[in-house]
Amino acid sequence: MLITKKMLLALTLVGALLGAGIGALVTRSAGGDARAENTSNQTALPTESAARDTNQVATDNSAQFRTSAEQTAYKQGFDEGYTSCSNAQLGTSRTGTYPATYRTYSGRRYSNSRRVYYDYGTTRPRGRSFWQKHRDKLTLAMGTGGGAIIGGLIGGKRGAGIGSLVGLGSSALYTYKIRHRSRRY
Amino acid sequence: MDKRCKLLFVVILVLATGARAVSFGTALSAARTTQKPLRKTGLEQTVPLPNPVGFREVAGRGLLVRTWVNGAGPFSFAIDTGAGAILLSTGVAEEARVKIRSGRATSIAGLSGAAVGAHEASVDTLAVGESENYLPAKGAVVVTSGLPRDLDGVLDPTEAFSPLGYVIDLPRQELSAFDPRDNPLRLNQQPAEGTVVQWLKESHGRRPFVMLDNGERALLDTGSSLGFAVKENSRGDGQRISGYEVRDVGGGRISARRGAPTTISIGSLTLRRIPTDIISGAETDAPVLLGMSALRPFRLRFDPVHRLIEIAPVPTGQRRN
Repeated sequence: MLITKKMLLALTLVGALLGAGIGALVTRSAGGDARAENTSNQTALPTESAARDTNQVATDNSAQFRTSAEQTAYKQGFDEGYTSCSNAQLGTSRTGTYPATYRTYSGRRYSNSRRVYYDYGTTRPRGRSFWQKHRDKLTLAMGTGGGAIIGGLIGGKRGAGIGSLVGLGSSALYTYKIRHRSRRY
Repeated sequence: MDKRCKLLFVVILVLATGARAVSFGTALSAARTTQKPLRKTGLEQTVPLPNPVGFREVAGRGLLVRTWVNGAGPFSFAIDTGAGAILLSTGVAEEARVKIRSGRATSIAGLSGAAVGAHEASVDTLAVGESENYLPAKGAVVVTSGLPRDLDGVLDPTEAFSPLGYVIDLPRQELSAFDPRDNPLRLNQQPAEGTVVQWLKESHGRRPFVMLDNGERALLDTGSSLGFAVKENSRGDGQRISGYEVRDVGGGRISARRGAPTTISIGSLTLRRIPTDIISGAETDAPVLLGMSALRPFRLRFDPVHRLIEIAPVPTGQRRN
């Protein structure tokens, strides 16, 4: 008998809770529909507000809310939204309002966009003299000439011919086989 | 009896676990106390900054600076960031009475992989520019017979200035030091026309590697006369302009030819039309080089503590030549 009473009490409580939940859901959905209507009104506002004062628009729309606190909050939000839109159109921004977003964006832009260039083609080659540019040819020419002179002094025309060949060969051997053009340590 | 055995077993188990935990904890604390001094960078002691010194660039020899070893000198040393060690010729080692470490025979090798015999040694003092302008480096050097006869040694500034940072101003031909504690390099403080990039770690040694935009690691090598030097198989067929024969520190030879200029990026710095050399005969794991032909317009600042490198061009008006 006691158990039955307890069960009945529990069932009553569960029923009450279920009823309250269903009632709340029904009430909420009705409010949501009303808010959806408000939203649709707000999205239509910009076209209408072109001819009207913004304060008047805010006052008119805030009248849809019941309490004075809600109306005040709506007006403040409307004013802030309108101001930010106006600043965006004018190219100004309130950086103090969104410091974190600004910093993040600024850092990314810095690291991604910063790029410096150095072009080797725009600089003149440093210190390349006539000798450095034509070293090989000049060495061969000097070797051939030197050999011809020495050979000519020793053996006349025939000696000059042999000397020039020897000079050419030896200077070519030096230029292309013996001398190291550059070294790494 | 069984209960007593079980109790005894539990007691032994608890004691053994506790003793092991205590010994483990003791080992950890001992390890902390022994490792703590190793964490000191050496900068905690005041290291006097050496004065800036001038160097001269000699074709086929590199960046030469007057150097004194153990008070003897002056000798002609080549500044080579890619050497990985301070190298002394045998003649300098004898004249400066450098102590060869017994049983420390080793070998050094260059790009070609050819090796030459060497000995580890220690010096008391090392000075550049003037006989009293001492460098912080004291201790290990390598004595080798592989250097050219007209070169007395090779000065790797990373080793010679350690633990200080150093600046190689190539256009102004000046080598100077700085204290990374007072003037550290920072990634968020980029120079106007240059860049600050990570000094990449090397498995053996502290040579300055940087990351290129294509993911390759390049060695900043002031000891090389080449430009942006890549191996023959790693780059396309560049237009042949002239041929070179390059002798490395190990006595080996590699051949190089100047190819068509390329464009590379180091951090935020893009190098357009960089002189490019294609080398052949180098060993398999030879790194990509940025030699003097590529580095000549820049001032290089090396921060070994924060492992950062600044590469910045020097304005034309401030250059020596």
